[in-house]
Amino acid sequence: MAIGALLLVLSITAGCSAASRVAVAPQATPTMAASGPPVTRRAPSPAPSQATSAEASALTGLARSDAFWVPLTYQAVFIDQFESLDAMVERTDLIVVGRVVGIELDRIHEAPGGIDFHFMTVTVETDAVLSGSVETLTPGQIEVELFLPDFSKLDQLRANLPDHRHLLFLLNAGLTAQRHERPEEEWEAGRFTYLPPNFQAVLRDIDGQVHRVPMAPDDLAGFPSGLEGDDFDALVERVRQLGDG
Amino acid sequence: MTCWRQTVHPMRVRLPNPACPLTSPLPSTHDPRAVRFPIRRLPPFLALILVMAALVTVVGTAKGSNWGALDSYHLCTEMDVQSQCTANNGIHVVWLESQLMTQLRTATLNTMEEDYEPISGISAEETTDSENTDVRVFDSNFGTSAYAGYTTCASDATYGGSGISQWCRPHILYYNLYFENTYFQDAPYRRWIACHEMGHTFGLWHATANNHSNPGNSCMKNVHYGPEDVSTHDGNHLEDEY
Repeated sequence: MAIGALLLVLSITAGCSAASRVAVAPQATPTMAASGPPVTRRAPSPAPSQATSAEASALTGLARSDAFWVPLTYQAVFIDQFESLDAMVERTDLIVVGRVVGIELDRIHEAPGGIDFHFMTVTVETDAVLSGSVETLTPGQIEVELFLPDFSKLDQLRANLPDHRHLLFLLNAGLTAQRHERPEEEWEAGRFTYLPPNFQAVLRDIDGQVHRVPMAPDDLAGFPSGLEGDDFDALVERVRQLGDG
Repeated sequence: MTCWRQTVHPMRVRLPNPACPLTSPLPSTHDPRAVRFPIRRLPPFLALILVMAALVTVVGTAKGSNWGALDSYHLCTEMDVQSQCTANNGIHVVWLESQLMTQLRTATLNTMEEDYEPISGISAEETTDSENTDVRVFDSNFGTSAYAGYTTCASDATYGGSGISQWCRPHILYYNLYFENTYFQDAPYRRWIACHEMGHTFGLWHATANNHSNPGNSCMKNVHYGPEDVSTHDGNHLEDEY
């Protein structure tokens, strides 16, 4: 308690001394061209930094999982937001129990304003399919697309692939393109790609208990924080029954 | 000088700046009784600890705040595309790209004029100068991604401030044109997302039951489809902070 208070005092003092500190990002002048078709390029993933990998890979359990998921979470207006487990089951295309086995850079979106957005492909090995039919080129695996806000964290993510199961509620990218009246070529292009509609849709099995992803957006009714600490297997069974219904 | 600082997630309670007098005015959403403790006979350091403990107990039970650079995971820095920063002041000059979807342009200008401009201390106006601006607004097709709207700091942004008042200038506000044929065809949705994203550029966070007195009335409501207006709670925050 006393140590905590001391740390608080020190942090407040540090905050005072840092007041009015100004730094300018050493970035190029932004492109002001108007937005046209999406500017997307495929790029090879950079080699991970050995130092970062070695340091981070010592983590285990929840800390390791957080080291992977925290950099992937962000605030935004998401494609959907769920008020209950039932709603999340009903409004997603595929529900699986699986483990993350890889992450690679998939594409870079060169957004107007001079900012590159990096999208990752996360490979998930599926232990069980609870609802929906799997679209995949590699049996036993699915590909999930996730936006990585800070691309410099990719090494950290690679070094901390979670060793636990996940319960994932996913949208199929092809079906999503269809629902949002995108050109037909996008329907087929997205056929083998999945995405979580937001971070409510990623639930983790840490020592048999349900854990949300850090910063998962809660609904006003407290979903999914109300699931925190529940028995993971019991939740899986409940979702399986909801999916069957 | 900011006399009240907010701890980072997950506690979200305000703590006093020791350099400030204990009689400094508190933000309107907090109980002023929290600072009136008999501390004069105690050693200064012990008194400070007691005051802090009392604040955690008393203030921690009240509604928190949905304003500020609160995200301990994504700090307000030039290295993080997901920076969660505030604005440097209440003067919000907004540049909209020339080919912005017409309906989104209208919704953005409407929320500036009708939702933010009326707030005391806030000025929200359009500019044609893309360089000297507080917010640049773009639309872009990000492909099949999970978000319809997103804000961040510009790649050439300037950063300043400290603690929860860390700011960047300019912000960039993106609408994801992937949804141009569905969500963005709906006027109430456009109005909501414009109000919501503009709120982020002022430093407002998603309104939840944990940080907002009436999240159901706020366009910062953390749902898929929310109210179209700034709530009184959010307006008060902006008045207090700017």
